[in-house]
Amino acid sequence: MTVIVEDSIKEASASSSSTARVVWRLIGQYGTIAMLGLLIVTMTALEPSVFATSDNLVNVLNQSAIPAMIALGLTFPLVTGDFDLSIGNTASLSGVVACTLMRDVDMSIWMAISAAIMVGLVIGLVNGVVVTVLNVNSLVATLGVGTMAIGVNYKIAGGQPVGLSDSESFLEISLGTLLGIPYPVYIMIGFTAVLWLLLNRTVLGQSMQAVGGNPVAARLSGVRVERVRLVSFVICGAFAALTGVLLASRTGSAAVSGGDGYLLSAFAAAFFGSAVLRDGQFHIIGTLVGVITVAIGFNAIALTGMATYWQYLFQGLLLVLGVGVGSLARRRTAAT
Amino acid sequence: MKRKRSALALTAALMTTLVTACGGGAETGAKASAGDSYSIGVVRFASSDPGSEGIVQSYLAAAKERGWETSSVDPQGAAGQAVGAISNFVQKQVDLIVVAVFPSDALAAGIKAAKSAGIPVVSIGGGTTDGVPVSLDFGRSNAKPLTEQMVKDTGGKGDLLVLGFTPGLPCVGREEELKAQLKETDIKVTRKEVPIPGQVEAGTEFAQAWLASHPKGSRPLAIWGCFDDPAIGAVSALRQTGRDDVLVYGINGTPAAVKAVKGGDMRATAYVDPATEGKRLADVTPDVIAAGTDAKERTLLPDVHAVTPANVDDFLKKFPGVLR
Amino acid sequence: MSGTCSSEGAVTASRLEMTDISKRFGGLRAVDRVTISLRGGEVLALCGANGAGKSTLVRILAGVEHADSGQIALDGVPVVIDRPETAAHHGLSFVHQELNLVPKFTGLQNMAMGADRQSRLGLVATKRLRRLASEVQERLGYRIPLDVPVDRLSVSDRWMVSLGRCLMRSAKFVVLDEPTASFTDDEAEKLYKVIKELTDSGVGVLYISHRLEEVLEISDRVTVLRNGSVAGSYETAELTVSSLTKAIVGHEVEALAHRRGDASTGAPIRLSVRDLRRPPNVVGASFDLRRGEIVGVAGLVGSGRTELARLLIGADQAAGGEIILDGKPYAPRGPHDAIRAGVVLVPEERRSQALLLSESIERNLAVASHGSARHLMCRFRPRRSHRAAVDIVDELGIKTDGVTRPVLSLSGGNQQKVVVGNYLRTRPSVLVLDEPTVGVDVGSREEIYGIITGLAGAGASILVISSDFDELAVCDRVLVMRHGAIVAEVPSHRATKGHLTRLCFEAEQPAA
Repeated sequence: MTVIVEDSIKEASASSSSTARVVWRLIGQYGTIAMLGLLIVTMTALEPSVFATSDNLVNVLNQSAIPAMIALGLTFPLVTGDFDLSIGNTASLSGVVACTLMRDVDMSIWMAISAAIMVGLVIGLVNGVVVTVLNVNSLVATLGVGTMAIGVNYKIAGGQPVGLSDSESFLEISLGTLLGIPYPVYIMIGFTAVLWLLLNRTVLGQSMQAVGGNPVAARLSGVRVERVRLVSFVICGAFAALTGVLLASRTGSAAVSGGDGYLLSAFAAAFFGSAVLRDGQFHIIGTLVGVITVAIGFNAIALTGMATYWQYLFQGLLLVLGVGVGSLARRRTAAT
Repeated sequence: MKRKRSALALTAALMTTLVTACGGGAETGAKASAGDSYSIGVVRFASSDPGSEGIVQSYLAAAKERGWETSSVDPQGAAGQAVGAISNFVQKQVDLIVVAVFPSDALAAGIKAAKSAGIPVVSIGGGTTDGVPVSLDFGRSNAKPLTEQMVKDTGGKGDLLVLGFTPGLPCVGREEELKAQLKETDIKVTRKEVPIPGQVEAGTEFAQAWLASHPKGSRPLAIWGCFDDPAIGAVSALRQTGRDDVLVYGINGTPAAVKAVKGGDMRATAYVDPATEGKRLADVTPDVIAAGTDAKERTLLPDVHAVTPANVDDFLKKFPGVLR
Repeated sequence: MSGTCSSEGAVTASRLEMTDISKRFGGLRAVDRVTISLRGGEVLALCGANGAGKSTLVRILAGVEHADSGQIALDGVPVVIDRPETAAHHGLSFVHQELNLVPKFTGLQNMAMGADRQSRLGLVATKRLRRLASEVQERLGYRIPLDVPVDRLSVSDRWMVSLGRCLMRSAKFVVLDEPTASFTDDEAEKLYKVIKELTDSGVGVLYISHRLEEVLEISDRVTVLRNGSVAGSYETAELTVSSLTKAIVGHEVEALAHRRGDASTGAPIRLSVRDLRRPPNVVGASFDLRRGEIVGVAGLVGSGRTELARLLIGADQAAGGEIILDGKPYAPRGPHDAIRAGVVLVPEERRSQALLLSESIERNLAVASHGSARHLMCRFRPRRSHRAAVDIVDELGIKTDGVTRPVLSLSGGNQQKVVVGNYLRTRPSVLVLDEPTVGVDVGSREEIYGIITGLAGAGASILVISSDFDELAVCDRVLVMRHGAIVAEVPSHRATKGHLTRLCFEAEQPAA
């Protein structure tokens, strides 16, 4: 680190620019985490008796579980460089399928859940085939397939919410606890671990990242690009379906558009997560941090009694700040 | 350098707003524990839903007037989020939770959590269930006077286009009322399901197609929307085709609908005054809290005003805020 | 007609000076107090090994990078070039190594970008643009396909589009970064003519090239960079290839030694290609490749060499013919099959076809090993992968301060070594290299050929496609491709540049 410079002005600017680079790199990598930390510290200071309790922590994690599943699934197509706009509709459909099977066919809970997840797998497969075999842009393909899923949904449910007469044991999936912690939290942690391993410790996950980096290079290096992309859609579909099932178990019924709202929140969480610890790459832990950050924000607004408009400002601000500052910081790191 | 500094300043400013915002909330966040001072959590439906928002806002205003502490959250129409919001209010240990529009039995996990924490839930239009002892009806009663008007106008015969919305609980109730009243008549019904969003355009399209197959002068013709938006869409279809032989009915009394009634384009709409209903809910709040979660289930009926060209001027005198 | 590239002020001799420019990337000093000056009407060549700082200097001039210190002056007036727009405003035009063309746009649309293209109504003046473009074409003496999307053009045509685009604007100074790397001699000759035209009209040309003969032929002065600083500035007249090479490398370089052509004639045949075809680019290719043998493929750009290579790894499917690999029929359905059978292709364009640009060196060195894995669910061991990457970096002499650094932090030659290293991790038995030394400096080129001969010595069979016929000297024999067919086979000792060039052109119409 020896810089030969002639006059003091140059020296000053050179050293300040290298300090600036370090600062920007820190902001780029840890800025989003710092925002989450700031939020937690502020809330702890404001509402120590309610916010900073283990009960509320469990509550927040419990609320994160459902959006986490769909956002983690979405992370896979995003890693390979594709979009999946059908996830919300898939979640809605899978909930309706699960509840209809339990109510009308009297299917057992686990069979119904398996069937619902099969629906997600099939939708993912169709998405993948349309994208890789028919070579349709993934935005268009998944928009189309998602719209078809709405059609199937209306065919099955007729537009009406599918309620369960005896829902106790199905609700138990959401309400049951082990060691004081609700099952959804375990489900979230378990699947996060599985998906992390899949993305970071298998050839599949590494190939996905290579495809996302440069599909041509990946293909010439022997990666079966089409297969890898297809698998990413299938994973995404399956987790969207799981989300739908968990949502139905939490609400006790399946509304025809119940899962639609998760589409945007999943994208927001994944993009926020892409700025967590990494340089704009989608990854599992980042997505999870994104989901939890949004849940904490939602929790904070309920606890402090802030006006509703803050909720939107907060959510938008979080995304723009998280991704924007991260991106700015990377440019600064490279430029200075 | 300049850009760098301004970016930092911006970041700092935004962070500060975030913190001060939280601070602002904290001032009102002081828990009141005096005898008749309550802490109430309100779960809205969606900020884009004017019908429920009006009642929620007047309820919040009425609660503030009485010195109760309130906190409201917008789950943006998502049931999962609403369940989360209820759990957050349970964490906050509020005295009462008010939920707008969501069907009460589609919030199972949340309502169970509230019940086991001993917090009663009041629903605006979602119906009563175990854990939700009180609900303000938002469906069937709203449709009653207006549907009676429609049956009278048509003389109990003719063709009717119904623009319904099955996923919405209020609409389901309103259509039940319609069905009950039509039972004894000779009215032939064509039913179309409108999507949301896109409800106004859908109303126009469905009406155009229906009008084409129902020419002028055949039989009495009417269009009944389970809320005003698709009915307004139908009015626009009438204007485009130059038809004046079709009676249009809507529910909610939105400004557009009241104007259409005043202008003679619409036969009737049904209005529920949010201020009255918000106050009604506020009036029962102490009782509900006192009775707890196991109180006998009861449904509050709103005051429904049918607005027709005959009474629209009086109506506007009484509720001058409607057209705003 | 020649008025398009010289703006009003260009006729008077202008002067561009970069003084004491310094730029660091992390701990690496990319450019260190470099001073160059360029006058209108002359050609200044900028020479140096990869990583010597040429590209960084050009990027600073273009406003893409910002210098840590130093000054840029035009006609003695200091200017601040902080954005590419400012550079254009000052009359600086750039044709970069990586052509910044919009793939789906036609040649004309690409050439129109940035040009003064609006009519009075604010609409794109297509007619005027087309006239301008045809003037430019005439000046180049080269028919640029104006109405074909550039992603369907050959590399040399894309260069011409990119150069044409620069001629569409008013330019006082034109920077040409490795223009002839993938040109045939004929195309290069035409380029020299254009450069002459430019300088005659008062434009100053900054010319960056690894082809030293070319530098000596067209430049007036030469500035040599070494390790980020100026190693010397010379009048071209006083230089020879060997003295210039010496200045670049810092020590004498021996010419690539010809291999003994009979080195592996007795070795068993590994790959046997019989009448392989995929019209129109490959219409009949037959050859054998022995164990431990290096075979060159010479040919003009567009003669079907790249397409043949793609058939060998199944990137495209052959319409006919057969391939025998180690005595067994070999018909790869895709690069995955090929890589599992031990056949790999090091592709021509490393940025678009071979590198994950936003990833680390380590990640880039692991892609082919993922691609060759039997199952997608095979375990990935990051620590093992890291060690393998470190080993390759050592083995191939990739200059970097760590394998976790971004691959973009490397110079072109070192990036190319990463590309080769990625494929070597799969231990291929047949290695096809398509233009392995494009944009690679003299030193790295030697090293890459050292790697290639080392692999052959260890028993690998190697096919080298190159437009630089001098470097085919490392081959045991050279195949000549013309119009999609292999038309000649030349033993090493006869594979001179002149002979190969003649074979490439033979029976061809005089250049139209």
